[in-house]
Amino acid sequence: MKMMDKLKKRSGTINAVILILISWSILFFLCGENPVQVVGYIMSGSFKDMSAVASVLNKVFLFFLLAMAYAIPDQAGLANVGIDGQFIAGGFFAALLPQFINTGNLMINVGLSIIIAMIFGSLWAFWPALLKVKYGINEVVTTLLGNYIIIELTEYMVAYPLRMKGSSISRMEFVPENFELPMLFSSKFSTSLIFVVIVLLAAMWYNKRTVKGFEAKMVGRNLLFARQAGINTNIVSIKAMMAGGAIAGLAGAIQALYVNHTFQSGFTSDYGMKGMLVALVAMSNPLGCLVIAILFCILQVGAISMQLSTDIPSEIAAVLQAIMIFFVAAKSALVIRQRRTQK
Amino acid sequence: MSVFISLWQMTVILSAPLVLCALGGIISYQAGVVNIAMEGIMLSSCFVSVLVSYYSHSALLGLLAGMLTSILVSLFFSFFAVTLKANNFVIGIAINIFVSAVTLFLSRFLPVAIFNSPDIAAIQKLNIDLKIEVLNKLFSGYSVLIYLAVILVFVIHYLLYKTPFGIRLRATGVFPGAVRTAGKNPEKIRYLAGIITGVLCGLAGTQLSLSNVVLFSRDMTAGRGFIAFSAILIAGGKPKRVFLISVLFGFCDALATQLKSTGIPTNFLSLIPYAVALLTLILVNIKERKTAEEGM
Repeated sequence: MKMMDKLKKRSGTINAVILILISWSILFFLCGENPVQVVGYIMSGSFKDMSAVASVLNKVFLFFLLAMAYAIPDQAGLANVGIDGQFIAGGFFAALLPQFINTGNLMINVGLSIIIAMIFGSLWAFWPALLKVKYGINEVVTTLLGNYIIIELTEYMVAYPLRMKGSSISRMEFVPENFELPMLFSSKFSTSLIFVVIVLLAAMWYNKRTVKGFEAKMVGRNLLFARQAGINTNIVSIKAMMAGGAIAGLAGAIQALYVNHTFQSGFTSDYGMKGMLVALVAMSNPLGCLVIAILFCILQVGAISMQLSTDIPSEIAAVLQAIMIFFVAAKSALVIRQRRTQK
Repeated sequence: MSVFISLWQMTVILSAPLVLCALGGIISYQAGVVNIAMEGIMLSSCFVSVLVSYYSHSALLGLLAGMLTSILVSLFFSFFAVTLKANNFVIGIAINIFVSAVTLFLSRFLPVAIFNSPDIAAIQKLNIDLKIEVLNKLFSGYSVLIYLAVILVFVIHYLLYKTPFGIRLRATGVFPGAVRTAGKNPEKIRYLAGIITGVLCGLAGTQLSLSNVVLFSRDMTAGRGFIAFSAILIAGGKPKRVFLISVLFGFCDALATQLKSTGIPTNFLSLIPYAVALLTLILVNIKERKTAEEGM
């Protein structure tokens, strides 16, 4: 009996999953391939051996952290579409730091880079939050325009003043070895996973167990009610945005120190938007973000090997991911409708 | 002098997609639907216009196909935003990402040569002979859609403020409950608004991919949908104002393009339209807040 009730509660999600799988299959079929085979290629590409698994897991930080960067402000009612900009701000300054300070100690170096990145990430998130809170200016527009602005600014910086001499593409000097994010115990897995776990646990704990977390949720659900209850909604909103920005900055630092070993032109290829997709599918739930982020990574890595075995371009991964959000968005709206008609 | 003329011409050409898109956005805005999906709607039209124009060698068919696609995407948005009452921003951005992904994917899946081919038929240009050389250079020789855009500013203004439909539309934006009490269906009005938005954004997209340039490239709308949205917010949804703001942004774009040859780094120049849009938005809002507070 309990099982059936649980299933009924989740029927919206289950329906959504089924519809998503059906849409994917139709898509694969339209591309002229057998859907089951395609899924097989994707899976085998991601799981065939330890280094494949590692390459999947080492990408998780990007999707997960950027998803959290959207999810945290989202819970407080703000749409942080500026994740790309905050990501860039973090990565830029994290890669720039070694040119000024080098303590010689790997841990301290990396720690400093990350802290600087998080500071600048949250600063870049601060001004749109302030504008929204003080003047009611829509944060989606400000953050989006801000993204374009910071992209051009940093592109300029690495094309001319900060450009590494003799480099054919625009990039900064390479980050010295004692600034690079190490691997976990000399395995194939990156220490970025530690940050993933830390952020996940911190977010879950904050949401469920602290007063501030509760306040943030209230602000997100019902602004007026929160204000009546005495919560300073302005500060809560700004703090939430800054937290999101800090996490995006953290992602940027990891990207700069571990993946690229520098800050370069084209640092972000819409990673922020992809992170947002993850958060949307996971409905801004931290654990959900992790699960969906892993799923996205599997799709991403698997799609590349799928491209080798079929004629389908790997860009299909983005389409698969996008299909997911629609059904999730539809599902949450549909479930509510069902409850209303039952009355 | 010739610099001034080419600056003028560039401004006209670059403003056109913004004007069309913003005019479309106004209709939804006045109906109370915040349409952040214009970027994706435009992009879908860009893509389909090029595709159909290539195969049919007819710009007109490309235009119609583009408009049809835009209407479909806009209806898709309306379904989620109006009927399912989902979060407009989320759905809008989701659509933008979706269209970007699908068009990118299709532009690689289908033969790549299509999208940059000389066989794509461009929109016809209109040559009006105004007898005076200078006037010819300034006002003649633009794409048909550009002249249409200017006419549409007045048409939309008339539609919004002088027709019963316009009144109902604006009422839906202010107080949908009243519209329902008056016997009309606000949801149907919002859907209609969405269709009009689709038509205009479709025109914008076709202008972009069959006239401003004649090709399709990844994410070629480059944030124009958001700039148009800022223009709408700055102009408070008024057609003539939106026209002026869009032209202002187009001018910044043109200025940036002209200055490219002077050696100022292109990145700074590309910044200008977005920075101007942002600053204008901020300043206008701050001013409005201040006057509202003073009025109290």
